[in-house]
Formats: sequence, C-alpha cells, structure tokens
Amino acid sequence: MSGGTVDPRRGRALGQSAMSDGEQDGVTFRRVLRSEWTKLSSTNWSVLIALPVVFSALSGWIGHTNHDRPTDPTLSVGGGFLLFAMAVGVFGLTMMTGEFQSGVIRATFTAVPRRLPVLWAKAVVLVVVATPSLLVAYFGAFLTYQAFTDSALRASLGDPGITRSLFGAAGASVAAGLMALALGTLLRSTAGALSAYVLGLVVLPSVLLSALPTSFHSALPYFPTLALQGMFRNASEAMVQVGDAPDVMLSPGLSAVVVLGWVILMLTWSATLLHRRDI
Amino acid sequence: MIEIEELTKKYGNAVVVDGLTFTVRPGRVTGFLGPNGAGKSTTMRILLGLAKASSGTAKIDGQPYAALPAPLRQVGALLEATPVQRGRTAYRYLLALAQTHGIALSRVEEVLDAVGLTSAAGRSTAEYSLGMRQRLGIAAVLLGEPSTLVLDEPTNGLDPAGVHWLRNLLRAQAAEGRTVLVSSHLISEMALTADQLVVVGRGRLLADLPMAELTSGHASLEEAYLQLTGDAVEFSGGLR
Repeated sequence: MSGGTVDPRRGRALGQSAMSDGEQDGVTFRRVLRSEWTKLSSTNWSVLIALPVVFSALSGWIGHTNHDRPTDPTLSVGGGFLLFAMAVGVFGLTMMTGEFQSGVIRATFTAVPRRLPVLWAKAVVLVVVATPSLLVAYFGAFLTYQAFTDSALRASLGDPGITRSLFGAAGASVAAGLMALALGTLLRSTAGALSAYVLGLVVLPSVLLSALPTSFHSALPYFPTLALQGMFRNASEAMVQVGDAPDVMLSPGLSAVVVLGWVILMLTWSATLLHRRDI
Repeated sequence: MIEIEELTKKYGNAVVVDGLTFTVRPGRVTGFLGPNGAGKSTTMRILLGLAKASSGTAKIDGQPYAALPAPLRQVGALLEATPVQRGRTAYRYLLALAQTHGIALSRVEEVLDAVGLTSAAGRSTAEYSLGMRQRLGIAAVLLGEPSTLVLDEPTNGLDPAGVHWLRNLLRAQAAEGRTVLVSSHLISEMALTADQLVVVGRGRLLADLPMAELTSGHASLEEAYLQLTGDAVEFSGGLR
C-alpha cells in the first residue's frame, strides 16, 4: 500500500504514523460491525431497555383487570406484537434513514466505499440487540399477565405451544425490524420509510382482505403481516385472527420460512440499490 | 496523486461534468475553482466513490476510490456541510469512523486536539456551530494520516483565526509530500493557499496552471479568475 505512505525524506505529519503494511490497516467486516455498534445512541439503548419493563407492567395490569376471564394466551402475545413491531421497526429503519437524512452516510461510505458491509453490519447489530430485549419482553409480559390471573384459568410456560409461541413472536418482531431496515435503505427518508412500514404492516392486510375476492384469500397468509403473525400462532389454542379474517394462517414453521423469504428478498433488493445509487 | 480522465457526469440530459481531465500532484496545494454549478462538488463526489461517473475515470494513486483497501488511511475527505446527527458526540462520530479501519483511540483524541475540539468533544454535534462542524470535518480528514486530502469548501463558517490555521495546515501537509485538492469560492484565500489552480466552468476545464502563470498579466487572481470564467457563469446575479 504505497499509497498511504508519505515520502519518508519529508518526514511525517501529526503524531506517529499509523501506517504499516499489511491487511490489518484496512476495512474488515468486524471493524464495520464495531463501528455500527458505536453508532447505537443512548436513545436506542433506553428504548431497548424500557420496552420490556413497560410492556411487562402493562401486561400485568391487563391481566389484573381480566383476572376472572378465561383468556387465550396467544392473544396476549399477539396484542404485544404490533407494539413491538412498531418499536423495532422504527429502530431498524432509522438506523439507515438517520444517516441519510443527516448526511452522515457520506462519511460512512467514504470510510466503507463497498457500502454493503454497512448494511449487513446494521442488520447484525439490530438482531443482536433486539433479540434479548424482545425475549425478555414477551416472556415477562406473559408471566406478569398470568401472575394476576385466577389460578384455575392460569396458563403456564409448560402448556403446549406456549414457549414456542413466545419465541415465535420474538422472532417475528426481529424479522419485522429487518424488513424496516430494508425499507429505510430503499426509501432513505424516515417519514417515507415509516409510512411504508405502517401501511405494509397494518393497513395492507385489511385492505387486501376486503379488496381481494374470496378465491384469492388462500394467498393472504403469504403476505408479510400474516406470515409474521403466523409465526406465533399457537396451534393448540384458538387461532390468532386479524380483524374479521377467517383462519387463513400457515403453520408457525411454514410462516417462519415465508418470513425469512421476505426478509432476504427485501434486504437483497435494498442492497442492490444501495450499491448502485449516487449518494 | 489524483488523476481525473475524460470524466463525464450526466443527470438525465444535463451534463454536469463534461470530459474533465486533470492531474493533482503531491507536494503542493491545488486549488479547485469555478462558479456555482461548475461541477466541482460532483467531481469530488465521483472521486470519493459517492457518485458514479457516466464515463471516464477518477483515480487516486492509480486506483478508483472504491478499490482502496484502507480508504481513510489513503484519502482524507471533507465534503460540504459536515454532517451532524442529534445525540451523537464529536468523539463518537470520529470513533465510529476510526473503528472501520482499526485506528487507535489515541488517534481520535489526537485529531480532536489538533482541530481544537478537545473541550467540546463530549457535546452533541447537533449543538455545534458551522465553524465547529467544519473543524470536526477536518479532524475526520486527518484521522487516518492520509497521503491525499480532498476538501470541498473547507473555509465555510471558519472564523479568521480558523481560516489562517487551516491555510497553514494545508500548506504543511503539502510540504510533507501529500496531495492536497481544495475547492473554494474565496479567491483571495486561494491566492494565499494554493500553488496550482484548476479552474472549471460548466463542467469543462478552463485552466490548469501554476498560480504565477494564471495571474501573470492580471492585477490579481480575482481579476484573472473573473475573466477566465466570465463566459461560464451559470447563475449570475444582476447584470452580467
């Protein structure tokens, strides 16, 4: 790398030279990962820590209010899902849009001109920080809810499908965050990406449900929202329903595969554009 | 060394950079001048791999920017309006950049000190004045001790002491054998800083001359510049 060396006869500038030959001076994925970790703000951390606490407390309160009614434990998980999908979604999409809107992305891409490692590093950081937070939140919410329920009606983690449903919900929320990261990369503005995210997640399913003829309803569970919700449906309990939707969901395993497909598709699409576009 | 060859950038039908060819050599400060809309910033963005050329090439030490294995150690870049993000301190801004190249923490502190931001390093950059943001941008330029420096309007927002400091810094960097390309609208400042001048207008090269040659026969660099670019002014205020 002769390019980094200043003519030795002229001496060196500020401080000692950090330049020595070899790969250890260049950009590596691990280094980009560390850099992305540094970029997590104190706001990011407060949200990640506050969410499980707030949601568990809220869930306990709801459990207390409904203590004498038999409840479907999957519903209490499903109720939290949209909340978490929103929180993780905003987290995921602002990881990218925050840099685009402030212009920091130019500094980022002059440091990492290959660009794509930045997207992958953000995805890894998102998964690594959101997963524990979401697991604590879903398990905490379930346990506090059940703690206030009358003992005769109480569900426990040992009941069939409960644990899998909670893991499924956490996984679905993380997947939603990755889709949001892809949207943020595609649209580059927070307002645009957030609108698209909310439309896709909340509005689109009910619109499709009313707009599509009944014969097309079998395609619905392959749309992201229903596939995400399918990941935490509890096969042994009543089905999770979206509005007045009939039970159209796929099995949790198949839903997870469909969701994975969407995540890969969206990230690949956004990576292609990120690589090609002028900044 | 920076080599721009037959560089062209089109946005739709608009040709922003039009067959531009010039070389920036090490050991001196090269000023990059031209009216608004002349294509200076676009050229710099292509040079730094942020925009793609429609045709032609822009190379640093013989390679396109995107092919550099350790870009921050080879090129220090300052683009217009150093970005700030709410809640991000100057220290963490530089740290995140340094970490991509495994640059030591001590170097982050060193460059903060060099630009006079040590006492403000822990503050959110969103509270920074334009001049402080510019200093932060210059700290980022120095971070990897690069052999090539590319600066777009670095004097923007700097106070007179800051302008003086920057001039000495750039001249010292060039004297140490580095390649320095700096764009500016401030002709009188350029007259004090640059050894070589590259003048563009409407995306085309108008002159690539040593300072003395460009100004010979004119009362000042400003006069030489205005005469040279008179026909290439895209956005002129009032009477021409």
